Amino acid sequence: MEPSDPKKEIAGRLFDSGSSRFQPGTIRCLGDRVLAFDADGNQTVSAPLGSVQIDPPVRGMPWRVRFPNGQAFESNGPTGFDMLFGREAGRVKRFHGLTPMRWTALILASLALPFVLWFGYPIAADNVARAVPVSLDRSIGQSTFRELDGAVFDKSELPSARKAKMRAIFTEILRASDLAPGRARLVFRKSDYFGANAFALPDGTVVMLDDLVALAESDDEIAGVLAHEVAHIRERHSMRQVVRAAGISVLALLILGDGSSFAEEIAAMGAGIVQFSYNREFETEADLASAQIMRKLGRDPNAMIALLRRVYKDCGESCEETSILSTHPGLRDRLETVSGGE
Amino acid sequence: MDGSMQSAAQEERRLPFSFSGTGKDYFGICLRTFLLAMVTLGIYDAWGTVERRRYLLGHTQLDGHGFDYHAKPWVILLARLIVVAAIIDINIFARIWPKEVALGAALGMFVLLPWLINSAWRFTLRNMSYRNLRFDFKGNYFQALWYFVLLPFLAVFALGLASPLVTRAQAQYVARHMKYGDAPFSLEMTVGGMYRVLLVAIPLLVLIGAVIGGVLGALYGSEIAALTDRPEALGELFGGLIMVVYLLMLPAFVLAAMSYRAALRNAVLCGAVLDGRHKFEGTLRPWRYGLFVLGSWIVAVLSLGFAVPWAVVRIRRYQMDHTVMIAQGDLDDFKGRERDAGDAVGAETGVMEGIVGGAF
Ligand SMILES: [Zn+2]
Repeated sequence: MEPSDPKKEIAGRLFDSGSSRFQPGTIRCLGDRVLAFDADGNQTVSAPLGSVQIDPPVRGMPWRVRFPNGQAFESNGPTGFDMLFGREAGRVKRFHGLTPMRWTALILASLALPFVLWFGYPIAADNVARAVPVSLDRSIGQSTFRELDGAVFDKSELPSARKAKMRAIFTEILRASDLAPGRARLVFRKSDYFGANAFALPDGTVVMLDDLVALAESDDEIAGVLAHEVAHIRERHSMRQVVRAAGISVLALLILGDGSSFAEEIAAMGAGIVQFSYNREFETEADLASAQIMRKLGRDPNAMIALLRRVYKDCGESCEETSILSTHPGLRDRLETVSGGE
Repeated sequence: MDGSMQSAAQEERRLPFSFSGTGKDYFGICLRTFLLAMVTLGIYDAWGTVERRRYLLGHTQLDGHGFDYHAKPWVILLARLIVVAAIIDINIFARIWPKEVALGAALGMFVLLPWLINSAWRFTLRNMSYRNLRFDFKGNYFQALWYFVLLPFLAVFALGLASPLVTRAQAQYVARHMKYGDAPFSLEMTVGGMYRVLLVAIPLLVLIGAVIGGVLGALYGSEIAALTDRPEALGELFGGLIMVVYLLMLPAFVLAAMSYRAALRNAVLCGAVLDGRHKFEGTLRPWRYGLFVLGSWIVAVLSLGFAVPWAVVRIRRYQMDHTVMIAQGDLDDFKGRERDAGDAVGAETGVMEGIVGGAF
């Protein structure tokens, strides 16, 4: 520690320990000790420089130091502070003030951050998801299925011959998809709430709804949808989505922790939009995998899109286009995905 | 207010609070801490939070001295990590056992909330000092349970009409467990001001809601009628309309809430006594303060957030310009010692927001 000139003393206010009393006083450095004196020149405290707490100065306010015995000293003007505490003061200020160079570096780093996060975050989150045991996917999927089964699913009304046919296709797809045996199962349900739809739950349950089967005009259409859902399970899209969403909430919470509720609302909106984009990414991944499986089986990879067009026939142009506020890519882009490649 | 302490009349001093911070300085602090928080993925914000609070409290001045804030950033960081970990755990469990977790969370909140509130006040006040003497707070679990969990629950049956009474009970609980050094605060609060604001605010909000609803009804009435046979499309349209109503009414809500808050602040200050002798005075005019805050926040939003520091400083200065301490004699004789502020988990869960936190 650099000892400062013992002759230099700084005038200010000396605060008592354990009371609100204060008096005019001075402090000075002697060797590596800091000494404080009251107005009559009596020494009230002597402490090693290392034990004195130097609070980072608040802009526009007197600077303040606190002694181990609870006394405190404050004084106006920056020169006394620098003179007294030399290198120690420099350390405190370096941390809390920024030179124009550092400002520039900080702003550049902040500007680069979104790009780093945009490309790096999904990879990092997927690595976390990979470390999550598959048994957690199972528990979540089973619980979700129980919930849905009690509330919005009814018994399927399909003829058993039709179901058997689809089960055969499903087995065919499982074999072609390299999914571990027993990792997926097919169930049939009817739902007025979801209408024409199919889902893949993280435990491996693929739910096929009657209304969707009713709209299908060929086996290839059904096979395309089943292959798409199987791909969701194989790639663990649900768990990856959960991990990515959780990570985003954590980041938003930490960065805007002290922010106003308005900032939080904006952040929630932004996080929602990012999650839609992840969802579209997973859908495209599943479409690609579906097309691959279909080609392997000698089936038509485009058939699924024809079925989807029938499902969304009322929706028209808005379902054809990809928008940042939709969970799935537009049908035109999906057709391109399944017909392209290989 | 005055005239009650005739004997000490010549010693009575009116000490106005003031705020000496500037929007420019605070903007610099906010920008720097925000950028540092960004590049450190939020870690630095614990340090930034302490720095911002030290700026706001340091420039809050009374009788020639500023206040100080002594929280350790790493304590705040640790608390945030604990809160985040708890949220993640709850979310994972909620996906596996949704019903059990919902029930458990409700019960847990019931049991935890009093503790969180007490620890939040303890952390905030024990880390605050004036003239090198700390404030203090020592809560009581069962009283907190009554005032912050059971009483609000019972008041639900009064349809919000009892809310000033609940607020008063909560404010009195906090004030009576609060100390400056060893000197206790007391609080005998009136609720007339808050009821006067509610008396105007409720009809005003109903009126504005009715006007907006009427206009939207006239604009979309035919579409709603056309969709009655398609419930899901109707639901979507209603969802959109509710969003629109909410956004249009937001300024009115902010105005009403801030005016109410001003009345609360006045009531707390005018009823508070420190050490049995020193009094306070809050002189905000509720609706004028509400408009002032609303205007500041509208500018802050229109500036895409860049004017938020300016708004914070401006509002704080306005509050302090309407706050007075009526001291009996000098403020030299307070005694006390520093006490352990505990952890920041309560303070970082935001349980203090919307209670009396706005009074200071
Ligand atoms: Zn899909």
